Amino acid sequence: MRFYGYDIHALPEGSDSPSRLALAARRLGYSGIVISNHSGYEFLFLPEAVQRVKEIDVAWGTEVVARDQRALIGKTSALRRSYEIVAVHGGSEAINRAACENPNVDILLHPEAGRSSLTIAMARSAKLNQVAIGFDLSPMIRLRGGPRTKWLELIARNLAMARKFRLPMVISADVRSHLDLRSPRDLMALAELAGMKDEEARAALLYPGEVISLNRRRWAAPGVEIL
Amino acid sequence: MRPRRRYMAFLVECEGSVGERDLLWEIYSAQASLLGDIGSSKNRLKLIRFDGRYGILRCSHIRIRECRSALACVYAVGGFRASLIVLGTSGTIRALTEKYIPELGRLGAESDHRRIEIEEVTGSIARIRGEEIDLTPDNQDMTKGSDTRYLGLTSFDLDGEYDYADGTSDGL
Repeated sequence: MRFYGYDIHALPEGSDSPSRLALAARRLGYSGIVISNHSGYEFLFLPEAVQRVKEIDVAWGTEVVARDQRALIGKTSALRRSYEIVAVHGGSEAINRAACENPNVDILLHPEAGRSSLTIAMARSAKLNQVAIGFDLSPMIRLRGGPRTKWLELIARNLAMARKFRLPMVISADVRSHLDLRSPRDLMALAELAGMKDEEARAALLYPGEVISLNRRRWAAPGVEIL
Repeated sequence: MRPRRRYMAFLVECEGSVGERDLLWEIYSAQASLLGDIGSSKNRLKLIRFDGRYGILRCSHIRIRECRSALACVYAVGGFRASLIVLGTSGTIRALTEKYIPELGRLGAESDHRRIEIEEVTGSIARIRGEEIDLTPDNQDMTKGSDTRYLGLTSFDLDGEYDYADGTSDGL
């Protein structure tokens, strides 16, 4: 199984260098990780050192933070070429909608962060533009009691929407140090408690790898590959 | 009837030192807040052993998913950032220790995963020091009488017996 760790933030945004994260992830059983700092923290600490960590694939991604729809469109099309995977830091309804309608976006992360859930229109355009929904499980790990209950409610609604429209899903844990990394099986167990099915959780961990292998090929136009 | 059990080997990554009491408190509180009292009672989680880094937990055999999630929710121990890594699960403490717990793990790091198969002695090499070879036997009954973990062999046992593909001078 080629499980990929996603939503991993390295120095300077997190507290670990990319190579340390790769090492920790390899021990946990990942076959690859995607290091994706928020836009604004692009300049990583010693990114070339990861090549010395064997038997793990490290991909570079970005998580676009934008104030409004126009900024989002500009940033995603600017960053698309330089990263293997482009995600959007979801939250407000306007950003969620803009991300779903943008074919440059691979993943919309934590759309529930602003306490707004996905709408039918959003899910429909996400399906059209092949935007996956990212379920960030870190509130499940970090929150306790009331806030976590509230979060679980929101997640259940988004999950039902993603399931209804057969949107691809991704699970992650907002990793900022090697202590935040959870093994694929732990993430699957958490996701299952949050309402996912076994096979959905498994597919969610495999999905980043599939996207990366698609994005690493060279595409001249949609459906036209340069060999 | 005796309820069935599973054992879970785990490793604590922590920035400070970890006490058994602190760890237990964190695990139980993570479990209680995630699953509530009724869920926790079904897990039957119990700490069997903990040496400061590696440990063994016992739980119900059908509630592994819940126990894993509870352990994954531990965020800090004794005020230090920590994470619990589940190394593996098994039905017996013995199998668990042999598979996942440190002494073996540390020796396993020295192992080059080469195997020895001579007549009824089969197993994988745990460590090599000079001419001495420690072997983890496939058949656990072989070490029963002597109460050891490994079979002690030497490179002389292997010399001339077999032509090995890599043909190294120590006969392995």
